[in-house]
Amino acid sequence: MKHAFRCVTNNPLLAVQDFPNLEYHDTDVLGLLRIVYQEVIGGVKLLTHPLTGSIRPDITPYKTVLLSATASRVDFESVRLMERALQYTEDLYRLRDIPLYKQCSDEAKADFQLIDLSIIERALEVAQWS
Amino acid sequence: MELIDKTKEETMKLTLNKFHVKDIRFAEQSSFANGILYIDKKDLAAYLMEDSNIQSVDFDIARPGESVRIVPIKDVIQPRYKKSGSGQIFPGYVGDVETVGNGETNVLEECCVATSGKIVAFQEGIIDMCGLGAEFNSFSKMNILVPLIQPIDGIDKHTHEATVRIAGLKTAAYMAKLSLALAPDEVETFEHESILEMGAKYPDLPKVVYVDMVQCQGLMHDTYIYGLNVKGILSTLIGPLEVLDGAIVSGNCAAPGHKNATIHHENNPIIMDLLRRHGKELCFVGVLLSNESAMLKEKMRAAYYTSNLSALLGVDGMIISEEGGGNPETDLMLNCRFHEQRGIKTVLVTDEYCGRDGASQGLADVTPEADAVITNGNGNQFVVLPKMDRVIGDIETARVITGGNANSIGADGTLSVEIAAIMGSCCEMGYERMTTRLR
Repeated sequence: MKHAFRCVTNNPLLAVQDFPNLEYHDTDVLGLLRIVYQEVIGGVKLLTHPLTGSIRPDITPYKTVLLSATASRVDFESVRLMERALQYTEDLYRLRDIPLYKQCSDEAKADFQLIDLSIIERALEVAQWS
Repeated sequence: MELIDKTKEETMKLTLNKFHVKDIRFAEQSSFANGILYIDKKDLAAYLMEDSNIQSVDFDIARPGESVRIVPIKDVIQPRYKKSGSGQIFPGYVGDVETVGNGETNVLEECCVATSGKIVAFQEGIIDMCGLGAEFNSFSKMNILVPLIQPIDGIDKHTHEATVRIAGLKTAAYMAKLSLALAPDEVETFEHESILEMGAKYPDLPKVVYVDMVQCQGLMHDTYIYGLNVKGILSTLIGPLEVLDGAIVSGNCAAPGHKNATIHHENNPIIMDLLRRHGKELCFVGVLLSNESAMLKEKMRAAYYTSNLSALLGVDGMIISEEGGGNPETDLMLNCRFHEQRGIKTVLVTDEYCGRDGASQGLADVTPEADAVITNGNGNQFVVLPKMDRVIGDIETARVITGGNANSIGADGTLSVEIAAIMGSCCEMGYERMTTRLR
C-alpha cells in the first residue's frame, strides 16, 4: 500500500536525493516550524514530531517534518505539539545574539543534512512506508 | 512425567568483582598488578585492527587531577569481563548473543575507556580532568584510556560510527580481561527472581517497574540490545542483571550532556538502586525498554505497549528515564499519561534546557499527570572552563559540538560552553549529582 504524506523541509540534501512529496523552503528551523504551524492550524496533521532527533533546534540548521497529505478537522494534539515546539525553539534562539546554527561550518552543515535525512528515512522505514 | 521441576533455578545471580584502578601506564606487556593497569599498545592495537575498517589506532591516557582536556568524545565505557556464567560482556559485540546477567563479572572501577576521533562535525563531548569542568561528571575522577581511531579512507558515516563503537567495547573488554586471575578488592552480588516467584515471595511490597527510554532515530541516534538496533521494536522486557552485564550498548551521540553512554547503562543507577531495595522496600519487577521514534504514531504505539506490559506485570509504580531532549519528552509524557490512566503511579527522570537564567520552559512537552518529575540539571548553564596544559583529540571541535560555538575558544585558552557540551553532565539516569531547585 502506498502511503500519502507531505514532506516539508529546509534540508537541501532531500531535494538533491529527489525525496518523495517534497516541499522545500529556504528558511531556518524556526521559519520552517512556523510554516508547519500554519498548516496544522489549517487541519493538516503532524506525522513526525516537529523536534525530531536530539539535536537542539538552535544548533541544527535543518529540519524535515512529515505531514498528512490532506487537511481535515483540526488535530488538537498536532496544534499542541507545534505550540510547544515553537516556544521551545524561540527560547533557544534567544540564547544568543547569533543563534548557533548560523555559526556552522560547511562541513558541519553537510553532517547536519545527513543526520536529518537519516532520521526521516528511518521514520519511514520503521513505519514501513519506505 | 512431572510438569513442575522444583529443583529448577529461578533466581538470576550476578556478582560484580570490583577492582580499584589507581593508574594506567603503557608497557611492553599488558597486565594488571597492585591496582596498576599496564597496556601494551601494540598488542591492543593489533586486536582492534582485526577490524579492517580501522587504518590506524593510537592511545592516550588521562588521569584525575591532570591538566588535560579530552575532546571530542563519542562514548564512555567501563571495562568489564565475565569470569563465569553464560555469555560474555557486551553480547552481540565482544560476546556472542548468548544470555548474560549471571555468574561473575570483573569490573574495573575508577577507570573507563573514552573513544575519540571525529565522526560528524559536532555532537561529541568534553571531559576535563581538573578545574571547573571536572566538577560536572564522574569521568574526571577516573583513569581514562583514550583510543584514537583513524578509519580507512572513504568510509561512510554509519560504518565509521559502528567501527568506533565496537573498538571502544573491545578495548574495555581487553582491559578487564587482564584482571581474570586476580582477587577483587570488593564484591557486590545482585539477585533477581522470576516475576512469578517474586510475586509469591513479596506479596505485600509495592511492585515497581523501570522504563528505560532508548534513542533509535538514525545516524548517531541509536541504541543496541544484544547487538540489535532497537529501531522499530515493540517495547520489551529485559532482566536488570542483563543490563549490568553490557546487554545495552550506546551508539548515540545526541547530545553529550544528556545522552546515555554505555557506562551509564552498565551502571544504571536507577536499576542498581531498585535492585538494592528489592525484597526490602519494594519488589523490582524488571526493566521495560521503550523506544524513542520520530513518527508520532510510533511514539503512541511504544507508550501504549509499554503501559500494556506494565499492566500485564501488575505493577503499582513505574520509574521512567529519558534519553536526549526535545521530541523524547513527548515519549516521556505519553508513557506517564498512559500509565497513570491505568492507575500506575509514575516518577519521571529528565533534564532541562531552560535558558541561562533557568526561566524558559525546560521541556518540549508536558502533561498534567506528570506530578513527580526529577531533573538532573539545566543543559543551558553557561561555564568558562580554564585552559588545560594538554588536549587529547582536537580542541577546534569545541567550536562545533553541542553547547559550544565559534567563539568558544578564548585567546587565553579558556573554553566558554554550555554544560550540555560536557560528557554526562545532566545524565537523565541520575548518574551525576546535579539537580535544579525552584527559587
